[in-house]
Amino acid sequence: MKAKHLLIALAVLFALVVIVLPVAVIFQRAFAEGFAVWLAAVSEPETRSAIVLTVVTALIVVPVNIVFGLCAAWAIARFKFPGRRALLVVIELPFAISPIVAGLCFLLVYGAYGPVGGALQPYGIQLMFNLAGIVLVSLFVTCPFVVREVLPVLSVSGEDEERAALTLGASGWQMFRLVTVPNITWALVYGAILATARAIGEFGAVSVVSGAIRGQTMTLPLQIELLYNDYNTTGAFAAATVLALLALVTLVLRGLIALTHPVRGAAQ
Amino acid sequence: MTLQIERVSKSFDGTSAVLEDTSLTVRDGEFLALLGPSGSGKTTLLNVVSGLTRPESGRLVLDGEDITDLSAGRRRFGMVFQSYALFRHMNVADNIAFGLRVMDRSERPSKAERRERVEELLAMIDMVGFGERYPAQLSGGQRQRVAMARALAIRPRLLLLDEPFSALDAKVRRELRDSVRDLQQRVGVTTILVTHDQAEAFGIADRVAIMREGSIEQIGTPDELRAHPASPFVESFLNAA
Amino acid sequence: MPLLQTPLDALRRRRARRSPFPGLGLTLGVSVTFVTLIVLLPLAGLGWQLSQLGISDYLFVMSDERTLAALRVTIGAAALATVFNGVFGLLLAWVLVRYRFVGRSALDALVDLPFALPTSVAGIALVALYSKDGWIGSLLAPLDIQIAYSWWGIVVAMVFTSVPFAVRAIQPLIEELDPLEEAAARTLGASDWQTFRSIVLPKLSPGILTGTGLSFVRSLGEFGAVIFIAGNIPYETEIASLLIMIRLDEFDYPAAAAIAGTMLALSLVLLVLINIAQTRLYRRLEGGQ
Repeated sequence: MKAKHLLIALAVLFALVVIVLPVAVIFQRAFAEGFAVWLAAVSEPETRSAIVLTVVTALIVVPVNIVFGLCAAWAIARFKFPGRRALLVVIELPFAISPIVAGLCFLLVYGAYGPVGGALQPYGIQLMFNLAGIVLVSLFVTCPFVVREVLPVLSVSGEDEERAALTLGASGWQMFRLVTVPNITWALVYGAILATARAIGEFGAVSVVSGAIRGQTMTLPLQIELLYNDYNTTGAFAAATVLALLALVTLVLRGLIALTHPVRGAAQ
Repeated sequence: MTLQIERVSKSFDGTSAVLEDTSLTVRDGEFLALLGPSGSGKTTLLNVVSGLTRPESGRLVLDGEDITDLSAGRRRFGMVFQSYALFRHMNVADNIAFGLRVMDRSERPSKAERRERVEELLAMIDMVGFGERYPAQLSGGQRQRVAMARALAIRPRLLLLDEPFSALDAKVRRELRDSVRDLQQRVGVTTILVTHDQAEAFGIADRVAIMREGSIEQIGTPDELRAHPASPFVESFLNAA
Repeated sequence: MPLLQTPLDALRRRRARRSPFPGLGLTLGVSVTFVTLIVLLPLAGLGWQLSQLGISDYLFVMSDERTLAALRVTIGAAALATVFNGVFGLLLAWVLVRYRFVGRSALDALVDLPFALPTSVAGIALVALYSKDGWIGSLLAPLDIQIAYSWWGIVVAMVFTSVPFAVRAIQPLIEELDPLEEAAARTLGASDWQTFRSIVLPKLSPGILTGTGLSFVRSLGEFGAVIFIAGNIPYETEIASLLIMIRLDEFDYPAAAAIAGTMLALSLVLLVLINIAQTRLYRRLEGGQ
């Protein structure tokens, strides 16, 4: 019994010091000078435009990721083809690649001196140091999320139902919409939430390709660094609360979905 | 509807043949059972008929029409799966109406017509009042009957049953066997049943085709088979059951 | 069969043979296009840049004192953070699975917080906490311990961002343990510690390996959380990722690519090794039963 209580106490202490305190300090710093100051800081034009840019990025990245994720999961779960395993490995690769290295890779190919970026330059198309660059690297870092959640569910369930739908005369699209999607809805939502959180919060990879133009190509995580380096600590922490809240909401949503719709090993 | 299966071949991974030059004629209105041990190719043959599996060679002819290249959906064959494959997220009524709902706009019955048809089918399977239930709330036997109704809803040209009784306990199995046969007679639909159970095949079918290693070993009425087994395999298979 | 067949022909034939489902062409087309543009092409870009570099230039960049120092700082801090996470990850996982207490599910959810929190947010939060006037920093200052703007700060940041890996990799293995085996060991006179060492620990080893391995790889590449608290003094508290950034800002793409390529190769090799070792460990464990 004694060991048990000691271990629990140690674990809770560790979690408090290592995990909870950093989050608590964000709110403490942000609200130290009162709610009005916080509100003013969050509604600074630069911070506001950073919020807008971050939201726009997520609104582009997450739907694209969902479409890609559904396609990849469908192809991998329902068909055997040469290179199937290789495709899976490639999809997971972004998890193994650090943000700065990822950003650099994009710069080398899509930047003005890279083969693709260089070829596009004469047409006035620039892919780096703007929204396009931010979107591209965000697609990279969020690449595995939807596939990862949807694939396991798709592989263990629904094949017979889909066959039944086909024999009943459903077109491929009808089968997908009426039978497949309802079976994977929650896995899809779960993956999309994780992808959203990551797209909103990515710092390293985005900072390589954003160009860091104030009020233009600063996402919220970058804006926090900028404010902090400007010694505008309150502003930085105020902006940080927005992201910290989003992180907490993400966790709560995740927990709720995991509770009500146990995803893994689904089937009836 | 008369179905002619002509010299159909099918292999997996291009190596071991599952079906080899298999030919078979299913007569209009009859109830035919495909009987054989596991691995004899009976399920594969059923899947070829359903259109879910493409044969490598051979033809399928339905009342003179070559349907070999027709997709599963265009064939309009009703199929009952071993797992029943009911749509979990739809209630019984929506399950039964599914085939009507996905029809081309020109043929699709109106909502009221669909509802009427569902009621009619629910009555036919003796499940009036179950329309709002979900598959998870049904017993095994009820699920099987819903799967039957769903397959019959599209007025199939052919009814295909893949081991539809295997997931049920012995008593329910007997009852359902009679009710399936009864339904088939009333609708008058040509039916193919796949089973590994000799008693089941002999108890329900007009004719039984015994399969072995991808070919039809013998075909005939239960009485004919019992009286004149064509090979030691057929004989041993009949005795073993 | 024609002598020359395109991969697509082969695919079509396979589909005819196996799958009744529609959409292979469309979904595979979208998937392959996506991963080519978003994953493979950028990686090829790094490879291409490295191949332009040549061995001697590569060695020149990598033997630079500052590069070596950055690698030393990064690898050393990541190693210490990983050891720490191995121990506390095991503790957290154990407590979460084996004990029922008030707040257990909250604690379970909290473990994922570092995953969910953007790294730059974590970065400024950690500085605020560990600098001299911070909640923890002010406690340590009288003891003459400085964490913020030192090498220790890097370790702290790495611990924060990678602790979930360790917990989540070990947790499922503890869930699978058979408590009867531990009880049996105890009836044979083994102490708690002996039971843990000889019965429990070996079975958890694959999880501990994966957890610490992923934690290490993540720490090697961590950027956002670290740069705020590190102080970023060349040769002392400058991590490899930051050095890549600095070379980029100087438009020294070859040097940036050389360091990045090295880091990437290190990560990939480690992940492959973890995979192999894990397979072996599982095989040995299963063989023993």
